[in-house]
Amino acid sequence: MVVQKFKDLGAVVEEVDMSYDLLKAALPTYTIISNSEATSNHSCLDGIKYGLRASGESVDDVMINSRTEGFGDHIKRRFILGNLALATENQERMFRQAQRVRRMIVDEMNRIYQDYDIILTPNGGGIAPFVQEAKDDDRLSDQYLILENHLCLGNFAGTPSLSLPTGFKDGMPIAVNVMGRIFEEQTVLNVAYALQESLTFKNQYCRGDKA
Amino acid sequence: MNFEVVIGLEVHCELKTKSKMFSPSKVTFGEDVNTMVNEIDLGMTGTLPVLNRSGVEYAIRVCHALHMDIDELVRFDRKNYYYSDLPKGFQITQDAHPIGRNGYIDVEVDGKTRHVEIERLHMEEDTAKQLHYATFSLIDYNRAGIPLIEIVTRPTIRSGKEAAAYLEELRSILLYTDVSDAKMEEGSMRCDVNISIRPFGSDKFGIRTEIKNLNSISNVQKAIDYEAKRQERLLLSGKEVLQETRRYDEGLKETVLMRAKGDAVDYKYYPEPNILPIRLDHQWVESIKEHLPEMPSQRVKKYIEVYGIQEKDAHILVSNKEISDFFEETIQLTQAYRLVCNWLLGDVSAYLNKQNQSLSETRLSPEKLARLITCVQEEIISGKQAKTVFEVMMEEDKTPDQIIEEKGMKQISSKDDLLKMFCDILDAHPESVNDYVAGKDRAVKFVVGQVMKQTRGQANPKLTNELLIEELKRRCA
Repeated sequence: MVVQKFKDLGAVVEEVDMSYDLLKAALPTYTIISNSEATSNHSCLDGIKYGLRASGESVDDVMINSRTEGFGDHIKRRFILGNLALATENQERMFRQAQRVRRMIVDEMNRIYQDYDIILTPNGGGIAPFVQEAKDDDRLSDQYLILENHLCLGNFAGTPSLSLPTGFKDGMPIAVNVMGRIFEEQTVLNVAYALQESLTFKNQYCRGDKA
Repeated sequence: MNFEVVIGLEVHCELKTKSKMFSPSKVTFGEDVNTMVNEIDLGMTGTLPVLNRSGVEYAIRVCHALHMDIDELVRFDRKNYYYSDLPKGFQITQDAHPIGRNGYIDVEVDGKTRHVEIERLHMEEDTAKQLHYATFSLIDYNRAGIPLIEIVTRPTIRSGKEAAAYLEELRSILLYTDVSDAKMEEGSMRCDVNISIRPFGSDKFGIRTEIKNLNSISNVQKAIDYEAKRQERLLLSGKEVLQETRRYDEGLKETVLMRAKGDAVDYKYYPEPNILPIRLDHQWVESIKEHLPEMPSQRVKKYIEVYGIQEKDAHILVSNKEISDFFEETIQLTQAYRLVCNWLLGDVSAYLNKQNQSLSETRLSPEKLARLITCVQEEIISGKQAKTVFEVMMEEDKTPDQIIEEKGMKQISSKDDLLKMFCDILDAHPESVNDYVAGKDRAVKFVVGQVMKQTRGQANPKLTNELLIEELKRRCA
């Protein structure tokens, strides 16, 4: 439907292939890079200068206790992963490898951007699942790896990326993602605006049971 | 068993750029604590570093002065560890790609030239300053983020003396490139020593210790000399040298254990993601070399060859940049180059030492010194009188001419006036003429003394002597 809307607006819309292996590698690449960077980006939270400060017998204890108390389990897991990927004995095959794959993914995106201004994708794999259902996700499926996690491509390339709700399915909102070339924010905004104005769902939302 | 001492030196030098390496906060010294600080220096979440171009320029100046190869692609890394003086929990530094490589300095040690190889020079940021008290510590972040260059030699230094000579010359270069105050007492230049010993002829390295927190070049030399002996004693008594970090205790005149070799921290170096690699314009890098200020060794050569200064004096002049700069200005105003040098190395230096001042803290200016020298050359005042004028000139804003005028010091150089004085004195002391005939020195001295007494030292001594002898001869004839 969205594709048709764009064609009506005068855009040339074509399907394009993108390397399947690279798309599947996007999530592990993102996990390693983002967790590694997050680890050192949050090293400033040590209880010394600002924020939560726990007590301790020594300076080291103050830092350890503050971080232990101050961070939740999920964040701690990310830090551990980041430290693992950056540790000298692992860094080459984990962090540096992820950086190399990132470069390959960005090259692949730039290949597409040679011929097209915008990469249009569904925002996710479908409507938001119930919490119980989400727990059963097969994390190695294409559905999960690619459809649910491809938005990180914008993080890799620094490309402007915009998600716009486009309607409802089974009473639940769905959206598309509009991603342009690096520094071409204006194009992305113009395209998304044109789409929004051609739809009738601006500012609407819906809560309801699954039909 | 004869041992060879193997030494490598790491010097950290604070750059006197206007602002910090990655933030616009001011680079200062001695300001009230935590007043030269912003959110970037404090490592608050969400802040981003921006590289200071002057910091890069200053680093390149030093690289050129040390004859280094320059990597024109500037890349930074994160060095990750936790310490209370490290605001971000990592330091932005250049681990993998230092901006300078493969440099050297030649130094004179005991009349021989020693070639000290420099492995690398890289840019990084300084940490905050901690002050430790009995039950608490305080942290001043004014220093956090100040630009640093780290200069690391290869282990080619062989004695405390050579190390001291290297540090003196390096310090001189840091001053002459105008990038730093390089004062070890203030912490703008810091030196760590890596030292080990091995039997002469061996090419294997012995276990090395590290000596930190040295606060003067002479202490570096003393620490090295002590540590070399300490390691020798250990090895000769069948014990091993342990890998340790030590410090030098000035009172005990010994190196003392600071910390034993612990588990090495994994710094997890990786490229700083918030600073993209920067390709320097080659022309810009070359122009920095072209505009490099005159280096100490060039000035020594110039003083000897162009201004006829003795080699020893030339080295002493150059070793104090303030005095050398003053010399350069003064010789624009007078051609009495050696006299200027003598004044600076003699009376001026003595005065500065006595008052514990630097030149800029006195009232002396190149114009005043040049004028003083000219006054003596033109016999307006005597050399002895010049010393009196000098003392006043150092402390008050008056020019030599003003001081001479005020003190009524103008030398009496009028032949008529002097002649009249002689005649009066000789008439009053006729025995002087007899003494002179008899060949007694004291005759002349006595009359000269009387003249000086009457003129309060203002008679031109040379003229006085000449005229007197003439007059005496005349009277004898």
